[in-house]
Amino acid sequence: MIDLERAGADLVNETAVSTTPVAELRRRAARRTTRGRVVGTGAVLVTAAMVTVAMITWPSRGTQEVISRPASASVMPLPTPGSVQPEFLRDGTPVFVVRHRDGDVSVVSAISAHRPAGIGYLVGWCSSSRWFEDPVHGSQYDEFGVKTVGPAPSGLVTYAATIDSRGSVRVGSARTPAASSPQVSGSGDTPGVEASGRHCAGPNDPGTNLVLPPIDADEARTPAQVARLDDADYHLVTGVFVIADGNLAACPLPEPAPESTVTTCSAPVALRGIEHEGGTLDASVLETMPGTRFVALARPAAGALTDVIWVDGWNTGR
Amino acid sequence: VDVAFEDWYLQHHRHVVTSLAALCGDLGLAQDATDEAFVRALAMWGRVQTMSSPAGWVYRVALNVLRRTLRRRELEARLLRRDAPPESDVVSQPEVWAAVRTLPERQRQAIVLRFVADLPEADIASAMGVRRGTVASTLATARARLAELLGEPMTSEVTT
Repeated sequence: MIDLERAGADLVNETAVSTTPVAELRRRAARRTTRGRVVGTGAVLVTAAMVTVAMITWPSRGTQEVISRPASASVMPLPTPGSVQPEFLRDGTPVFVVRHRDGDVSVVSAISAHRPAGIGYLVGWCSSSRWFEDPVHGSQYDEFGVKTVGPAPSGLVTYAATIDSRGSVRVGSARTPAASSPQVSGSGDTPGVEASGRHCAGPNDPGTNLVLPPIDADEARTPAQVARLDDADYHLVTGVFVIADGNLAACPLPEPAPESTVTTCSAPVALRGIEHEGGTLDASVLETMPGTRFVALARPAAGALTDVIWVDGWNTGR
Repeated sequence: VDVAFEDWYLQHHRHVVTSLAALCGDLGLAQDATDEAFVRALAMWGRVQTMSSPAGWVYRVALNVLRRTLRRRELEARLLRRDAPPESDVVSQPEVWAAVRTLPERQRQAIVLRFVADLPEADIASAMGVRRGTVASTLATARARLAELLGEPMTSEVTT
């Protein structure tokens, strides 16, 4: 008679496991966080592809981030005055906790308000200039999330935030930002107009020292795995864009990667909110996107994915 | 935060290492993949500790790291014409775990996560990225196949 319970317990007890000290894990974790800020060659290529898509699909519809669920239970460490810490709310929404120099706290969404063709992007924190910046399209926001320049139609979504008795940041419900008034200068600060390039200047390689939410592509699941989850949280998903029924959809990454290419699959997962007005994608998007690999944050939506935030390219550690 | 992480790490570390060792037969690889998973957990502990299944998350990351390492090792073995797999480091009832390693990947993972990691089905589902019902059916299939392979019946199933 085979007793797997017993066999498993014996294996755990009899295997000579050595435990790595927590201090060593901490050192490696610190190195990992630093590495995540570096932009690689592949990242530049993906970013270029995203810019291309943005140009093709611009002017944007000005889709605004709407948080459907309050994140009232999220509690986060309090940064030191003047510093900013990327975090995730309980529902997986990437945010930045901002400790202003006067000690006050703001929590702002890390998702740019600019969503060309319905695809979202993350913003990064530029510590040298103390602003948030969309590294793909150039929109900038001040440390309170108010838009200052670029094509974004509004500021960042912000959240009610208080410092509790334990000295932690308690995050409340989302506040939708007011649309910014159109500006007319020709320097790229008009809503819908690309503010090209990265603007964050740093001591090392200008433009690459943005602090972005720590995204690890290895945690990503397939489009189908995320689509069938029964929550409305953001999850990390990876796959390949394909066209199905005239719209953008997602297939799992091909095996073996990266030699294989995919432009169709047997069960594509629909991507809600990435249709153009009228429900039909621009013809040039149809030509550009199929076969493009992605890592994204997205929410499950009845067998499909929605709120797709394309995160691959600058902060996945690859 | 660090104290909470340390408690959680010490609670799960041995089970994660042993589970991965049961899957691949190589204790060194299992330790490395486990360390990598816990380093990632520590780097984003603020998020991981609020997840519905932090254990499921760390197993999923560890399994992904292990899978990628094994693929690289297979490629190297092909390139270097190394045909014989290294001897297994699993010394407790090695015939059982050798049989487990012949199962399809999903069945193999389900058995190890259930009986070595000692995870409840909800956490196994999170670790494998499947529904809980799929875990139960996969476990039943895997147990039946193991009984065939080993030529002995199984003890009655305990579900969680």
